[in-house]
Amino acid sequence: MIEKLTKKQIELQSVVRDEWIDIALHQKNFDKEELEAGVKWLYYASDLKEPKVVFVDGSKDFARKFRVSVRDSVGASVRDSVGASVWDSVRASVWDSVRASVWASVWASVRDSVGASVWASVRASVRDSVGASVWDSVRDSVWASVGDSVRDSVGASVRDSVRDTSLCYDSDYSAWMDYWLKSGIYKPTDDKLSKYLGFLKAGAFYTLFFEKVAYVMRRPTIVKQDEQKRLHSTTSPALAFKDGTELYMLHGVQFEKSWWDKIVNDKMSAETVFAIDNLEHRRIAYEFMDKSKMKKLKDFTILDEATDEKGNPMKIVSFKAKQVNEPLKYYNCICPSTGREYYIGTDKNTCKEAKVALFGLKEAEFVDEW
Amino acid sequence: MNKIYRHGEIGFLKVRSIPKMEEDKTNTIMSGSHGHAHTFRGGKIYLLKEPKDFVIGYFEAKGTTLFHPEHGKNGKAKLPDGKYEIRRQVEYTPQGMVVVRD
Repeated sequence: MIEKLTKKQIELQSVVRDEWIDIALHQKNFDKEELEAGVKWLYYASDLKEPKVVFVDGSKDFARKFRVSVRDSVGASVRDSVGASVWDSVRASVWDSVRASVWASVWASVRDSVGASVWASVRASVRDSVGASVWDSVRDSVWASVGDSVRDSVGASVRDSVRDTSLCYDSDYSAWMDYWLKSGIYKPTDDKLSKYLGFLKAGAFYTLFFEKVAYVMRRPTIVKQDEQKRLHSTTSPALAFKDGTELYMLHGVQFEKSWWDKIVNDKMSAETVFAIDNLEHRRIAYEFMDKSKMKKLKDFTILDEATDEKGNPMKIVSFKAKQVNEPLKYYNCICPSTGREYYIGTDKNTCKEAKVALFGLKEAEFVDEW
Repeated sequence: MNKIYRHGEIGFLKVRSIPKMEEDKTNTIMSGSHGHAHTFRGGKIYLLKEPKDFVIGYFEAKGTTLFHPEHGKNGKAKLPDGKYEIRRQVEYTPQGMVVVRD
């Protein structure tokens, strides 16, 4: 039983972590031959018929090619078969073997220093944005060409076909498995894991598995993140693909390009910022806004100031807006978990009233807040 | 006085009892507008089919951990055992009330 990692094994943690972040987000390789062979191996290992492998340049390209394929039928999603036969089995094998040979504290330290960092950089940051972009493109492109009767099944099939078997989903687990492999602590009895890692390293950025066709998405051309690894750029799309798919994001929040442009160039008045209906969009726009603009709000007044249960300041601010008779009032507060500052619309005059009124209550004790 | 636990834009209001409803087989309490959902492990959830305004369902907490990448320590928060009404934040606007989603 391993109670402590050696100096060399500890140093290897950051090497493997950085290597997988680089593989997932920064390397440019996209080896079609190896990827096609990898997909066919995944299907073979899952006892499925060899599919046609289609490479796509991004979400829009996927939607276009998928729409054409729908007529010939791509078949049902086979993600569960692939998952059960390959992904689940390699993970379980490493899991069982390592758990049996290292102490829990060693296990936890590797999980925290290798898996968690890659998770934050790749899965937590990029996966959902890519998934949402694929879904949006399919909805816009494919749904228009299919009848109502098949719309739901097409939608469900696409959503269900995305497998963990891609860099977007599995860089963290792969880094973790690769660490045990490279450190010599996990000794595989077959080549399943190395084949699987080889498939990912060939550039399997995002994959969708159907019975007859497997789609492999090319790596993005641009990936930009902030210091907290959220997708973020004030100068270009934070995420872009060869097919023209572009995602404009600020600290992990996505915007239409026109809104992104107005926010990063501070082109909006304070009144316009406060009128943004999405709370997260309003928060980001306020963050980028020159705060001296607040003084230009008509009859700007601070109605109440207080400290919340977590020691954070709260305010009620009020100002007059065009075409609204009554002054607008906002409850200004800080999220205790993220430290983010919000302005939330209210009709109350005190912080205490406004905070409980957000939940439809007249009075309440906030026992804890996260 | 009402006792409430806040998890982002969701509030768990302590109640003595909850209405008899069929348990929902989901671990998602509410989905956010930016890809992150409020989820849980441990406990039972009873969601209203068509929630109006504030109350979206009920929760029976037993060894419950709440999950959301942006709320709690490392995205986790322990909700004490008990019965709760699940409330969501609703923002006042001159045009009407608007559900808050982060």
